Amino acid sequence: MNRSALTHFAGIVIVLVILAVLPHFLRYHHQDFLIFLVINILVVSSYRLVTLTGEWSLIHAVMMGVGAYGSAILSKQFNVSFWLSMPLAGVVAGSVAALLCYPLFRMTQFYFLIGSFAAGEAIRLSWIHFIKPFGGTSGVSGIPSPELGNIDFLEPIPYFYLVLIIVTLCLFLLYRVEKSRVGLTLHAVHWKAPLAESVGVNTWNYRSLAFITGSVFVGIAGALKVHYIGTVTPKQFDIGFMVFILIWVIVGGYRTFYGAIIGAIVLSILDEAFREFDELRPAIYGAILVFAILFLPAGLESLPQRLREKFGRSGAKEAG
Amino acid sequence: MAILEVRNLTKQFGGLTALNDVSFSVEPGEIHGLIGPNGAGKSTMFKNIAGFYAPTSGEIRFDGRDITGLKPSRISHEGIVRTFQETTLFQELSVFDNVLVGTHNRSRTDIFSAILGLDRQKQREAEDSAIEVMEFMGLADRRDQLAAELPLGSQRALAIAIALVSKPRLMLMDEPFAGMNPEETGHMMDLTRRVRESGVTIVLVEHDMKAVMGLCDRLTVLNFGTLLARGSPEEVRNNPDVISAYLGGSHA
Amino acid sequence: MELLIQSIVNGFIQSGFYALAAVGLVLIFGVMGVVNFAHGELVMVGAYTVWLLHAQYGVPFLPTILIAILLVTAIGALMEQFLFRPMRGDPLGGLICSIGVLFILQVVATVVGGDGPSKQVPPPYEGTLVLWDFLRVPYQRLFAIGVAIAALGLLWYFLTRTRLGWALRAVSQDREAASLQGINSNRISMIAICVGAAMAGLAGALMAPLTNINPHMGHNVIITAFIVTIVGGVGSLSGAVIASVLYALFHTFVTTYFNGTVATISGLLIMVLVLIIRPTGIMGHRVSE
Repeated sequence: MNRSALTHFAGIVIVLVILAVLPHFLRYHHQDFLIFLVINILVVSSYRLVTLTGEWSLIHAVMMGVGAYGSAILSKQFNVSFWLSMPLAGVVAGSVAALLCYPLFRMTQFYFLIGSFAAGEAIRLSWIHFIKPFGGTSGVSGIPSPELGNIDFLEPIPYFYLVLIIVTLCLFLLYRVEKSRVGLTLHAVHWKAPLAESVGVNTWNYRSLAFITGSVFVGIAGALKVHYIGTVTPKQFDIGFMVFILIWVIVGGYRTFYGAIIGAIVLSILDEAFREFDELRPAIYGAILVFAILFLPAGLESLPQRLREKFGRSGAKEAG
Repeated sequence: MAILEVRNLTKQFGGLTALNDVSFSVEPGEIHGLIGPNGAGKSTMFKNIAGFYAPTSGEIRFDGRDITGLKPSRISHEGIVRTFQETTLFQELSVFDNVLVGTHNRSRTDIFSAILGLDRQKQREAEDSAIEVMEFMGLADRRDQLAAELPLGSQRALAIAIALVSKPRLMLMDEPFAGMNPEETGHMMDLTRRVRESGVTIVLVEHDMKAVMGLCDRLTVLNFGTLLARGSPEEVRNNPDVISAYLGGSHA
Repeated sequence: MELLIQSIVNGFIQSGFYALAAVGLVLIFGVMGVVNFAHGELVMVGAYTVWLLHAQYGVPFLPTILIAILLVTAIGALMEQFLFRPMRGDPLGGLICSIGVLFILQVVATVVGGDGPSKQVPPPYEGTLVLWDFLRVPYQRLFAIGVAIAALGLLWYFLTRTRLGWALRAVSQDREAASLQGINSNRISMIAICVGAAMAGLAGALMAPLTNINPHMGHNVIITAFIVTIVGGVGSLSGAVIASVLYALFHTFVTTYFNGTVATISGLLIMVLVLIIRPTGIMGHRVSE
């Protein structure tokens, strides 16, 4: 292991240790917040995989819902244990994504964006329309929490550890995919699709692959969320939530693996801080979004480098 | 037998005929020039061969097999790789990663092996051949630079390296000399010859007449989408039709 | 039978509203290459203006329509000046900016109108036209469709018969070629968004007495506008108008015989189907390469 990999590894261990002890210093309400934050980190990281090929889909929130509904219905109506229904949520979301690949990836860019939005809305409206088994507007409630020995997963702290372990594992897998040659090819498809095709890359396959894999992971995130809340509704996965995902990724930055995660953390904490403004919160988010894209187009991840450049440049000016 | 055979190829866009009944063939191991004034249909021909356009009618055979209308990725599996007119590279990736993308065809990997780490061996092979090709193209010392930061000559060399690492049998080069000064052109001509010597047949679309005449074994001349002349550089140079096309048309 | 004819008439009247909302979206996308996600909110602001000035403060209906148009046009102009222009050439950036505006406008509406139930505006034109005993059309609806048709006619005249309209269409066909011909694309973009926003403001103002007004009403508007835009062919204004009529009839029928959710789901599925089979829409044309 070389030195940079070692510092990398050490950094991750430190973050994990901090996260592991953190909930014991928080009040109940903030423990909840922390659970959702960790789940949202998985949401943005899986979304990042989808966007690696350069296609910004608007269906990711709905795919999370597909996993959530899948796991909820499996565990509640078919008595499938959480430990099975949670990974199956990923399979369900991945399968729905696979079915959508054919229509969706006939389109690119604008058409893909609108097409994915339309497909997502159609799925979401189906949850509202088909009361059986989706429960209409009020959704499915009474989703059982996980069972393991005599651990009480209704309590936030045990559930937090469960989420932390699963999300860390998923992030590790996502990171491996991105750093592998498959990930490199996804990048290549994004930046110069014709060039990638000319060396034999079937761009359709790779777009689909990224979309399906991202959906599998976000499906798992969906299951994690609703088994904690106990209820799943169509409202949880509407375009509003999709926009939050977009904002986290854009504000954080989409050039590195960490950018989206930083975005999710910083903005979620900000959001928590603005809780008392309540109805003004979306506007604050909107303003942050606009300012971020205008003044920090490469995201928060670029901040250290930009500061360095700024000081470097002013230094050069003085010298000149 | 010809390695590439284009028979009666016609390509229409709406009512416009960009290529009209053009036939020519390329022999194994040669550097074949595809030339003509602006708008003669050279690039259209290129895109048809590489699968970016589907011909309206006619046939393209590679090594005796019909490849007409296949997708670009399929064509590249057959052993034909194209380079691009502009400096089309993966600008945000390093030189090494650029070349690594080119190994796609030869050492496939899939997402499960990627997650489970089962593709170590293939990964090593791919990296080795990438390094080999970088050395061959004189890019070894620029390995970790971003493609966007390279000087023009190295960018073109990298474009060829990406194509070359996929071990093609036929390389289609789209204006590799465009915008180059005489020194860079000379260097590029050497590289092109080296690629041919490594066993790759080359078809070249180019405006730079000096380079074309110095490099190519045979030429195919297009004008307004039709075949104007075929033959050695010497024959083409003295062909009255070619002379009048070049003097009468634009002075490209 | 009577229900059928009544649905046809209702659908046709609804289509005027769809068309007004969609042409703006098409115009802005065609000329500027930006998907304006806040377009539904522009319609919402138009409706809120009428609610606030006419229903709350008793300003006569016609002047409030004008004020609504002017206000929404001004918002559009500000968006172009401060958001879309700096983001030129970055369609994703433009889209994100418009989402930001969407949030801000929704919150402004919540602050102005307060939370709580949807708002209603009593129809300024009372009474109902009764034809052959069974067909009933409220005068308010007749007025709305009349103004909508007049506005679309005016837009058509502007785009096909004036130099400026010609320049606008030229830019939407090919931005680069247009700039080579000396057309100032910044100025054209400004005009496009002003015209598009004005249409959205008018749509909102006309619909205000006929619909429930709330800060989130833009959501359904934008979904409808997307469907109409895609089905009609992106970049084709006549396509958008034709698709508006077809979709409004379709939606009214399905809503009458089934319900609104089924209508929207089938609309979205039709749109996905159009995207698969004919991505250029019914009136669109494929751009070469």
